[in-house]
Amino acid sequence: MVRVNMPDVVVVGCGGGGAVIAKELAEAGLGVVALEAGPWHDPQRDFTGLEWDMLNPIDAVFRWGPADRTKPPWPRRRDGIPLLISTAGVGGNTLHFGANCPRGYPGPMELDWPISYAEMVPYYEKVEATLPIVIPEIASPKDQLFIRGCEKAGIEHTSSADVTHAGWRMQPNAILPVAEQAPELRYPSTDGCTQCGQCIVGCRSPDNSPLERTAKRSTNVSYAPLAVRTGRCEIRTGCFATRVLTEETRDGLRARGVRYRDLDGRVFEQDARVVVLAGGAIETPRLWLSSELPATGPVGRYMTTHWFEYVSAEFEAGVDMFMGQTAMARADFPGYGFVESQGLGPLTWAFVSFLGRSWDAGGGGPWTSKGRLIGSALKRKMESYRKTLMLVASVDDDPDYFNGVSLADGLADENNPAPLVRYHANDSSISRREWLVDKAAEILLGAGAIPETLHRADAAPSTVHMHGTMRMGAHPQTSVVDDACEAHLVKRLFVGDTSPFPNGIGGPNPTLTAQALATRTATKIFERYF
Amino acid sequence: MAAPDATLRALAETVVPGPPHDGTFGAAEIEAERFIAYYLESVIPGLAEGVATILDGMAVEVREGAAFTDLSLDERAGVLKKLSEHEVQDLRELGDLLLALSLASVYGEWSGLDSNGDLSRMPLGWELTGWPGPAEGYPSLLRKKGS
Repeated sequence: MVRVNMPDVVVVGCGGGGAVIAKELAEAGLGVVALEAGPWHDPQRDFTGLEWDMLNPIDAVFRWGPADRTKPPWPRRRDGIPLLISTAGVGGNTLHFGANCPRGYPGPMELDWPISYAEMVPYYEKVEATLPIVIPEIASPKDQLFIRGCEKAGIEHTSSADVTHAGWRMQPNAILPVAEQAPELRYPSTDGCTQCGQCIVGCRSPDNSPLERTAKRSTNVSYAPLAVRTGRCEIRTGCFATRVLTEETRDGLRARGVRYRDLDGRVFEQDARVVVLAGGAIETPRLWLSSELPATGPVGRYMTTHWFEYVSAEFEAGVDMFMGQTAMARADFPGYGFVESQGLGPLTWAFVSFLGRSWDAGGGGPWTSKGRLIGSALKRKMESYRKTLMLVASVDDDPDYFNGVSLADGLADENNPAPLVRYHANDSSISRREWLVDKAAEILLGAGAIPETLHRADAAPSTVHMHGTMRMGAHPQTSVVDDACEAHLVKRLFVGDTSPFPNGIGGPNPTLTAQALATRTATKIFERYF
Repeated sequence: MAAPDATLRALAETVVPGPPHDGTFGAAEIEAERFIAYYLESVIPGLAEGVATILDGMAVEVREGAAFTDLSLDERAGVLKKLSEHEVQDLRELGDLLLALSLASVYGEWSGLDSNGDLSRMPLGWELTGWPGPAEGYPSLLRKKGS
C-alpha cells in the first residue's frame, strides 16, 4: 500500500472526477492524498447483482452512508427533488452509472462556458483513450428495437462525437469491448464485457476478473488503480473531510489543507500545497459552507439536473431489456436533451416507472397510463417485464439561481450540518421535457410497440445527473471558480467534479465532461503551483 | 398477528395484492410485513408501530371505527394516496417510503433469501416477472471468435 505523508495535493472525494485529478497529478510527479468517505470495493467480493442489496438508499452497497452498512445513511433534506442519488466509495457515482460517456453538446458549452469547446476536445480525447470509451458493434435486442424506432421516426443516423444536429448513434460507453465467445464466461477465458446487463447494479464482469480488467470503467477500476500505480498517490478510504483549512496571506485567503474524520471518529489534519474538492455537486458546496469559507458569490447556487422521464411500452415478442449493456444506443436532440433505451432489472424498472408523482392520471396523448400504479394494474405491468422496452429522456436544464445546495437547519450527521437540496424545474426545462417525451412516444410506436400499453412515469426530479453548484466563470460575483476551476476567493483551492459546470451541457450524461474538465484542471494546478 | 404486522401486511397487500384479490401470489403470501417492519425500524426505531398508528388514524377518517385492515383495497389505496400527498413533507416522504418498501418486498430478492441472507430460492417477484436473475453474461450477444 502506498503511503504519502507530505502530499503536494490533497483531493477530497475519489469518485468520477477526484480519481482523475489524483491520477493526472501523480503521473506528473506530485505526491497526492485522496480522501474517500466510503470504501474501495472489490467487485468480485462485494457486488451481488441483487437489486435491493446493491441499490436501496438505506443499507445497500451503493448508498450515501458509512461503509458499515449497519449504521444509518447520512441524512439530507430535500425540497422539490425527492430522490438524491449518491454513492460513497472509490468510484463515487461511477459505481452505479450506466457508463454512457458522450461529450457535451458544443452549442450550450460555447454559450455559457468560459472555456471553448475546441479547447475541451483534447481533454475529451485523453479521457476517451484512458478509460477507454468503446462504441459497441453489437446492439442488444432492446437497442435494436430502439434503433428501428428511431429510423421509423425519421431520426437520422450519426457517428459524430461532437453533436450539433439531431441523430441516433451507437452509445459511447466506458465499457471494455464486448468479449469474444469462449468456452466459459470467466476470466481469463473471457476478457471484456459479457453483456450481463448489470452496469447499474455494479459491474463485476467477467467473473473472476482482476480489478483493472473489470468491464465497466468506473474510476475504482480505471483511474484510481492508475493513480496508485504511480507510487505517488495514497487513497485513504473511510475518511470524511469535514473542513477546508485556510490561512490569510498577503495575497488573501488560501487553502492549506483539510481536516477529516476516519471510520473510528478520529480527527486528522492533512496539510498540502493545493486542495481539490471533488465530492460532487452536493458535497462540494456543503463542505465549502461548513468550512465557513467566503459565502459571497453563488456558492451552492445554479444547480442543474437533467430531469429524467421514463416511458415504457409492451411488444408482441420478447424484448428482455436485462440483456446487454444498460444502454447501447442513443438519440441526441441538441436544444432539448437525449433519449435512449435503458435495460433495468425488474425492481429498478418498477421504481422508476411506477412510483412517479401522480396517481394513475390516465395518460393523455399517446399515453394509456401515467404516474403511480399499484394493485393489480401494477402486477399486470410487472408481468409484461420481458416484453417491455423502456426509454429514458434526459432533459437539458437552464441554471436557476434558486436551485442548489445550502445547509439544513437542525439536521446533521457526525461530520457536518446536512445539506438541503432544492430543485424546482423552470418553464424551459418543463417544455423541453414534454418535447422529448413526445419524441420518445414516436420512437416506441415506430419500433412496433402495442399502442394501448404506452406508460409514462411522471418521474419526480432526481440527482442522477447533477452539476453547477460551484459554477465556473470570470467574475466572483457571478461564479465561484475561475476557468481553471480555482476558487476566486480562496487561492490554491480547486474544484474537480461536476459542480463547476455553468450549465447542463445540453442534456447529455455529464461524467465524461467532468473527467475531461478534471484532466484540464490538473494541468492548470501543475502550471500554477508546481 | 400483532397489530403492526397485520397493518403492514394490509399495506403491502394493497400495493401488490394476491388471492383472493388477484390471481397470482402477492405481498401477503411472502409475509412482506417482516421486510417492511425491518426497514422502518432501521430508519427510525419505533417507526413500524408509528406507521400502524398513522394508517389506523387515517382509516377512521374513511369509515368511523374502522382500522386500516378493515378497509377494502380501494379504500386503503385512497389512504396511501392521501398520505403521499399530505401537506407535511415528512408524511409525504413516509407515504413514498411505504410504497417503495411494499414494491421492493415482492419485486426485490428478499423473498428468495434464507436466514443467512443467501439467495436460496427463486424470489416471488422474479417468478412474477419472468426475470431469470443476474447472469454472468449472454453468450449470444458476444462477438463471434475472430470477428
